[in-house]
Amino acid sequence: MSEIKTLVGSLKLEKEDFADFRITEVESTSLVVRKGNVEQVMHDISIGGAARVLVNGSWGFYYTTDLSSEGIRLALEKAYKAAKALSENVIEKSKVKIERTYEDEVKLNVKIDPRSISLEEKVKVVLEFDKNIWKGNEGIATTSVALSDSVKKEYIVNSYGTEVKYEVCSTRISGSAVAKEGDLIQNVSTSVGESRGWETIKEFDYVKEGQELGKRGVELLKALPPPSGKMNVIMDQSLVGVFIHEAFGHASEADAVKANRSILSGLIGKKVGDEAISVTDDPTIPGMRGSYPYDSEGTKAEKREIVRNGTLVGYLHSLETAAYLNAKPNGAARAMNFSSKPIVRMSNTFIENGEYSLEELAEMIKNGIYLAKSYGGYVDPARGQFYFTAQEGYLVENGKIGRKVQNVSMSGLTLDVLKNVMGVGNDLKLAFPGTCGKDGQWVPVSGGGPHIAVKEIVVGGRK
Amino acid sequence: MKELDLCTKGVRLAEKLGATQAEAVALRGRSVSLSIERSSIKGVDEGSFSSFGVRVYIGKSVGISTVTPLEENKVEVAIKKAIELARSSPPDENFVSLPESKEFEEVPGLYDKAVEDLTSEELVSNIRKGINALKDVDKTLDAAGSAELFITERFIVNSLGVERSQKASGLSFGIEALKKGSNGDVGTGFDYFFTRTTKELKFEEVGVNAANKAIKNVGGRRVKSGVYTLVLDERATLETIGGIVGYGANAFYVLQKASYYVNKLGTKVASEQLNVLDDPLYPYGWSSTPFDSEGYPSSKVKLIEKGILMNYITDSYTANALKIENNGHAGRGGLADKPRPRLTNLQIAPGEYEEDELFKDIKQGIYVYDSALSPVEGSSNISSLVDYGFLIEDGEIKYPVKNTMVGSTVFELLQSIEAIGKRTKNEAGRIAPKIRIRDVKVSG
Repeated sequence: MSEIKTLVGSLKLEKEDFADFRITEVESTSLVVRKGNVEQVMHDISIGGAARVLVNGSWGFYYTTDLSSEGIRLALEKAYKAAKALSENVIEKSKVKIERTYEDEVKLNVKIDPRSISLEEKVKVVLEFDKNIWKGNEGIATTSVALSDSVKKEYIVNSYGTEVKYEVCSTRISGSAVAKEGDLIQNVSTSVGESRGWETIKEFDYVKEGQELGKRGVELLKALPPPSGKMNVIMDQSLVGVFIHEAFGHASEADAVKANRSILSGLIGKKVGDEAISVTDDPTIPGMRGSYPYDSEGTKAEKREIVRNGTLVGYLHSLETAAYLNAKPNGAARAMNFSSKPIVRMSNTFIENGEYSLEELAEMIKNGIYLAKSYGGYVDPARGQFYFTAQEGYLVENGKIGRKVQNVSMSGLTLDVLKNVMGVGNDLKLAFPGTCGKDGQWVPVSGGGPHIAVKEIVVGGRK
Repeated sequence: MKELDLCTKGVRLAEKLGATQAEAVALRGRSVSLSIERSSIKGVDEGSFSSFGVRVYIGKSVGISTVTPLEENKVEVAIKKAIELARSSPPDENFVSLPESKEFEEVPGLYDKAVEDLTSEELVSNIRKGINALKDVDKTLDAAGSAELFITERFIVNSLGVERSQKASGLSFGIEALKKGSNGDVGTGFDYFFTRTTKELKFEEVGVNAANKAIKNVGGRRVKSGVYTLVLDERATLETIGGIVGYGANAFYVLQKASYYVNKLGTKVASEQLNVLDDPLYPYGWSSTPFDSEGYPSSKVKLIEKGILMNYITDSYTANALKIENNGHAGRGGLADKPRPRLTNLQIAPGEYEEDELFKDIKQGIYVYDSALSPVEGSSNISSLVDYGFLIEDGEIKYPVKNTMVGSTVFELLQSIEAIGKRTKNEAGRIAPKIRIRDVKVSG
C-alpha cells in the first residue's frame, strides 16, 4: 500500500494543491422474504478506487476498478490533468484545510463477524420474523422481511501524509406489513440497524417485534383518517430522529453553507431555537448505525455540537468546507462507494434530553396529535422547508393520548420550528436507523431524541 | 465480444455446477460530470467501471452474486457463490422460469457517438452558456448544478437462449437558481434536460427557466387550510401519476397483494378523461430500451384508458406467477438487485382544455409545479408537501406558497381530475399535459 503513497507523492503539486487516493472494498449479503417466500438471496463483492486532486482551486476526480500500480498512476494522472485543464474556468477557487494528518489502522470491532454466519441461519431468522408478523393478526395482506450485512474497508492516502485504513460493519433487519380492508391500505414497518456485527441480529426479539408489527398494521385499518391543518404535535423518538435530521441536520452540513444552499448560513452564535434544545451529531458512539472511526477523507471522526441551548454552534465539515469557513475539519465527509466523492454527511443525529415525561407533554399540548414511528422525510435546506412522515398517530384530547389515526405526513420551516418547541422529553433514544440520500449517495445514519412537543406543525391529513 | 463470451461461459459453468437455469449480466461504462457551485464551475468527475452479476436457480431456489470489477477470474468466483446461495435457500414458490429468447425490435436513437465524443472543453463551454443565460436574467442569482454524460454497455445471457447486448448514451444538465429576497426570504427554481443525443441541447433555455422560477418563488406565504382546486404542471402531473400508477400497477406489488390496484383490472380507478400508457420503444426516449433487464422484448402498455385500469407492468417472474402476459418491463436498480417491473417512458394523453381554461373560474386553488403528490409508502393515503406552488384566486396566479400540504387518497385524487390540457410537454419520451383536480384538502 505504501506504493500508493509514493504515487500520490509523485504528483507535481503546488503549496495549496492537494491529492488523495481512496480504495473501497465492500462485501455484503442480503436476503428478502415476502409472505414467507424467500425471494432474493444476494452476495456482492466490490472493489475500486478513486483519485481526487485539487490543482489551482479546481477539483479533478477519477474513479477506476483497475487497482494495479499502473491503473492507480493513470487515475491520479487523469484527475490531475482534468483539474488543471479546468482550472482557468474555475472562478470560485476551492481549498482544503489540513490541521493534522493521521496514520492509523482500525480493524473490524464486532463480536460476531456476520460473514461467519451461514445462510441457513440467516434464512431461519427472517422466516421466523416473518411468521410472527402474521401470528394472530388477521387483516395482514402481505409482509416483507429483509436482512442485510456488509463489511466495508476503506483505505485513504493523501498528499499531506495521512494514511488510514479502517473497517466498519453494517447489520440491519427490517420488516414491513401491509394491512388491507377494501380500498384502504396501511403499511407499517420496523427495523434495527447498527454497526455492530451479527450480535445485533442475535439480540433482536423477532417474536415480539414481529407480532407487534402485525398488530400495529391491523389496528390502523380501524384507525381514524388523519386530521389536517396546523396543530400541536408530540413526536415519538423515531419521528424526532427524522425531524431533526431533516429540519436541521442537512442545513448544518457545511457544503450546503458553502454552496449558498443553507438557511443556517451565517447564523453561528445566533439563537435558532428554544433554550431547551441541544442538537448533536456523533459518529463515535460505539455500535450505532451511523458510526465510523474515520471519514472518507481520512479525518478522525468526532462528536459535533450543532445547537447548544437553542444557539447554533457548529456545522459538519469536510476538509474543503473547513477551509472555506475557517473551521476545524470534524470528519463528516463520507462517500457511498469508490466511485462517489466524499461529501458532508450526518452520522448519528439527536436532540438531547429535556425534563418532561410523555404524559406531561400531552398535558402541555392539551389538544393535538401524538405521531409515532417514522417512515422518513426530505428537506430543501436552501429554503428550509422540510417534510416527514409518521406511520401512525393518536389524537390528544384534553391532555390525554387517545384514539388512533392513520399514517400522515407533516411539514415545517427550519427557522420556525425549533422556536416553536413547547417541551422536551426525558426519554432519549436513537430510535431511527435510516439510510440518508444526498446527491445520489446513500449512507447509513441514525437519528433520535426524547419525545418532544412542538406547536404549529402543518399536518397533511384529509379530514 | 469479450463480455458476451464471459456471460455465456458463466451461464454454462453455472449449469455444469447444478443450476437449472442461469442468467449472467455484465455492465461496462464510463461517465464524465462537471459540477457548478456559487455560479462557477467547480470540478470534474470522471471514471470507468465494469461489473458482473449472475442469478442462478436450482429448482425454485435463487442465488444472486455480483462482482466489481468484471474480471475473468472473478466470474467463476461469483458463479460458485451464487450456486452455494441457491443450494442453501428455500424455494421461491412464485418462480416459474427465466424468459425465453424472443425477437425484438431495435429502438432508434439510444446511442449517439457524438455524446461519447463530447470533450470536457465542449461540456464546459455549454455549461458556461447555461450559467450566463441564468445570470443574464438577473445577475444577483446564484447557480448550482451539474452536467453529466455517460456511456453504458450491458450484456445479458441466459440458459434459454437470450443473448443480448446494447450500448446507450445519455447527457443531462440541471441547474438550480437561488434568489435572495429583501427580508431574508429565499426563492429557488430549478430546471433540467436529459437527452440521448447532442441534437437537443438546451443549456441556455434551462438556465433562463431556472432563473425565472427562482425570481417568482421569492416571498412564499402560508395558505389557509381548506378545500382547493389543484392545477398540476406537466412535470407534477407526470410525477404524481407515475408515483401512483408506477406502484399500484406494478405486478410485483400486485403479486404481493401490497398494491391498491389488486383485483382492479377493468375497473374505474380514475376520471374517464385520463388515458395513460408506458412506452419503452419511444425513439430517442430517455428510458427506452428494445429489451428489458432480462433480455425480453419491451412493449408498449396501456395502463389507464378512459379511467379504467387496463394492464399491469410485468416481468417474467410476475407474469408467470400471475399467469398474465410478460410485457418486458423488468428493470434493475443495480446488478445485485433481482429484476422487478418498472415504468419507462410514461405518457399521459392530452385532453381538450386550453391553458387559460384550466385556470379560469378557479375561486381558490393551488398551481403545483415541480412537485409530486405521492402515496405514503405504498399505502392508499396521499399526504404530500407542495414543494413548489402558487396560490390561485379567481382564476389568477397570486403568490408562491410555502409549508403547504395536500391530503387525499390514490382513488380520490385521480377520480377528481376534471380537466386535462391540450398541450403536452415531451421530455425525451416522457409526455404529460397539465391537469386540474377539484376538491382537494389542503393544509397550511
